[in-house]
Amino acid sequence: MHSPDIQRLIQLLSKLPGLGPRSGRRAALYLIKNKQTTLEPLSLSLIRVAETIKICTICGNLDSETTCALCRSPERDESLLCIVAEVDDLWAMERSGCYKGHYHVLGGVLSALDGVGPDKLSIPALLARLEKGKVKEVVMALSTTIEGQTTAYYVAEQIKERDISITKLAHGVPMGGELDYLDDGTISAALKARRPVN
Amino acid sequence: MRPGSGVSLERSLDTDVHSCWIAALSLQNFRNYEIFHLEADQRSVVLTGENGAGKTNILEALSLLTPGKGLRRAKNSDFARVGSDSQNWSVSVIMKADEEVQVGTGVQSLENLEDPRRIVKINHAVSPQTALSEWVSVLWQTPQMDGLFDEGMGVQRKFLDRLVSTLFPEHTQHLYRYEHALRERSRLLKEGSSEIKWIEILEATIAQEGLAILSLRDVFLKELNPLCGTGVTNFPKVEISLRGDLESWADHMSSLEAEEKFQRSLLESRHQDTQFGGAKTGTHQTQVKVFHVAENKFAEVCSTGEQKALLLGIMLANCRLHMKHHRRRPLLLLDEVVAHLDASRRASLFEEIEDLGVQAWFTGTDESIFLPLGEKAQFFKIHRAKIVPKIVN
Repeated sequence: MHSPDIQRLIQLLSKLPGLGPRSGRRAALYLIKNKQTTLEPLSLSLIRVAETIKICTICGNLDSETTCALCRSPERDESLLCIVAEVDDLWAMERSGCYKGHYHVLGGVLSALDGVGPDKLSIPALLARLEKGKVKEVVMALSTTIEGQTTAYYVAEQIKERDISITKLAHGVPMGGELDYLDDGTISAALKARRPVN
Repeated sequence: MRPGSGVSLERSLDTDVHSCWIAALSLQNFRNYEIFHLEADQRSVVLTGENGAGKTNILEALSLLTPGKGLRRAKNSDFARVGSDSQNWSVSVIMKADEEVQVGTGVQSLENLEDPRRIVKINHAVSPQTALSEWVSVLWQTPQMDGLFDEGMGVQRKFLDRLVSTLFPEHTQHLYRYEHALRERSRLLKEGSSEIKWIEILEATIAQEGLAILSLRDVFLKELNPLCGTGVTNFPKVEISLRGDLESWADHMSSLEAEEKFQRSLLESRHQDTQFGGAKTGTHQTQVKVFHVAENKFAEVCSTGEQKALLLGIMLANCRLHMKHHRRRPLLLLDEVVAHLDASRRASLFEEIEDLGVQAWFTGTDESIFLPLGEKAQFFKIHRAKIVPKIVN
């Protein structure tokens, strides 16, 4: 039905997260119909990203330099290190605009069932960073799943002998959230982590 | 312990309990139904028809008004009509409670996915599945549950956990986290992992979630047991109890001490668990014992008829428990349950349901066994996924 080139494009687009064969076909058709405004700039951008983007050798972030902009920045607080599972978690933290420390991307979370052990995570690189002695506080920003929490405790065990404070993101009532809509577990966590009203 | 537990439901409280019933049900591309619509009043509903007509499918559709996989534990992709090009299906109801509520659920996807997501809409707004339990409780009994007391302990535990989860939705999360951590630990032990810290963290999680599971099961039974055998007829009084290492520790220690002991036992059984898999101790090993009080014997040695009566007795008590907690009447789905009861027990069941004031949905092949319900129920005959209303005088 389609030319082999279009069929190949549809196959590739269908593999993207959130897309399937039908939306892959729609995306392919949209790109072809909008050749100048979307298809050509997109193809150039893909080539450029493939050529230039590297994994930061310090934190695991993605950047066009081997040391990413966050690690190079003199304005970031070197005493704070936030541990995240994946780069998209780092991006989420950065979107908030309220964290000014450095990051360390583990590259996943511990999961025996998925065959991800400590050897698959960048824990040795993390320990090497901590050895330099500049970090005073490690912030665990890992998900509240079994894997995320197991990883948080595991990493905390590895660094607890050092003179470093270990903290984790608070769990509880989201901004703008109504109590009535929260599940019992979230309310219970929020109550345990309650703070004085200043 | 939750406030008010252990207090039996007084009939005088019934006036505070709101009705909740289905006024209209629509199905699209669901099981053997292409398009289907049924309108009902507050009375119970009797669905009759030959085997394969689609009676149980209607009950299954109603069971999807609760979070989860419904009464057949099916995948979301299994509900679409066989032979249909589309994977999409929907169940929509108009429910009369304090107010009229429109609830819809189904799959609406442009793609044919292996396991599509079931969407829930309440009053036309997309809502999480867990929000369903704020509006409606649905309890069911099916022929598959008949052999419950002759099956292994795992089946009885699952039965109990489903009952607990319908009252305390957080129970599902504890079970999931417990089983997941248990599987992770088993994999590490099987692989001979030297990551002791990792195993220790998983064991701490197993112990913590295990105690939470035990506690919710215990609270549930302390509320359910006093309500068994309190109906208007002679359904037998049942006592459900839990047996296991963890349960006996929790009886003699504080929760914290029991949790620590459980964690220690996991550490001590690592060698054995490596050989045999799973874990020697835990809430996955708990024995659920159902005791027929009047006959002074356990359910597994009762006759088939007694077992059915015990099971119905548990369901009726659970119904009262839901009324007590949620202050609303649950829907009861009774699939082919009545046909297997003798005339006296059948009459008792009809009487109990009338007393509870719930809308029960019955199925059966033989209409005559429901005739004692008379005008207390509305009758629908189903033939090849079509419905023919029939009024019984």
